[in-house]
Amino acid sequence: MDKTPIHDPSMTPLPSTTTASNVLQPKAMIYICGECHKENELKSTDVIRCNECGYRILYKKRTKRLIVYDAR
Amino acid sequence: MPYANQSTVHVTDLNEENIKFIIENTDLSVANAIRRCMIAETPTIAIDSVQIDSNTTVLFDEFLAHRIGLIPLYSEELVDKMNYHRDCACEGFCPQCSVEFTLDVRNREEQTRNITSADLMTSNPHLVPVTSKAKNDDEGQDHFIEHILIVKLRQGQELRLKAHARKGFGKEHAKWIPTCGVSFEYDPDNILRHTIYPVPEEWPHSEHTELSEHEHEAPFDANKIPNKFYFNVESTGALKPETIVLSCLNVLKQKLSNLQTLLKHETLEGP
Repeated sequence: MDKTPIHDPSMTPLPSTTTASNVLQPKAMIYICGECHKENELKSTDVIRCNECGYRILYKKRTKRLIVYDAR
Repeated sequence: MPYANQSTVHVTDLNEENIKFIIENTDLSVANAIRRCMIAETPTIAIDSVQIDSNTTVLFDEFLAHRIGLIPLYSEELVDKMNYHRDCACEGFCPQCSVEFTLDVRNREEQTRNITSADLMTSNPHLVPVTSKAKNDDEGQDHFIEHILIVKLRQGQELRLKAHARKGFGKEHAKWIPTCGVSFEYDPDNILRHTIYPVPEEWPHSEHTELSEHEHEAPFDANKIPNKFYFNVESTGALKPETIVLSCLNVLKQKLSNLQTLLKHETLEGP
């Protein structure tokens, strides 16, 4: 039995080298502050700090992909 | 059948958890095959696929999925009607080969919240965790039913998941084993000397002994063979004890019948 979780196939990124991305570049993602737990929207060009309290350690949110595990 | 044994079975005790019986006039290999089959090849239903939507608990995803898989489900009503997932005509999950479960708990209070098997919501009321199976007692709900603890939540922690239960048997994974333990005994007084006691006086008498108080070991008899087998089958609750025994015999019969059919084909194809 394979131990790797099964990922939703529609979410797998395309392996092509010249990816014509139809998403805004840079993409804005939500990160969670380590201290006040506020959700900050950050682009890849922004400085890494919380908008509210200035804490510089931010965490990523759990993936939106459906992860299925074997109960083994 | 001229050379077949005329075996007999006596059930000495039967309750909700245990069945005790004695098989006589059969071979040791047959009794052992029944024991092994009861453990590893009697089909039950258990959760086999867990999709976690949100998990902020102290345990990681795979840990939770593993624990949820081990929860015994009362399979008595559905196990014969379900197909094995690999035999089912559907792609993925369908009501013929799986039953869906849901769990959605968020702790909003200050004190610790225990997520137990009672929080697992089933889509088919015929398949519930063993601890949720309401006991049909005259006293009603007086018994304290201890549900199986999955994980504990602090304030603000959450667990949300969907799971699918499938049919299977012990050979594939231990979660499908319907027994807690199968006790198997023969020759309680060591007439056959299948074991050698260094000091026979040290060993207590078995409950099936025919020895008197001061005797420790019966005299050796070279001509005897193992003949009488004492079984005690304890169920986890997934199946009734009598169902375990009967289902096991069915499975054994199937296997022997398959073997016979294949052998017939072999001999027909001979040179």
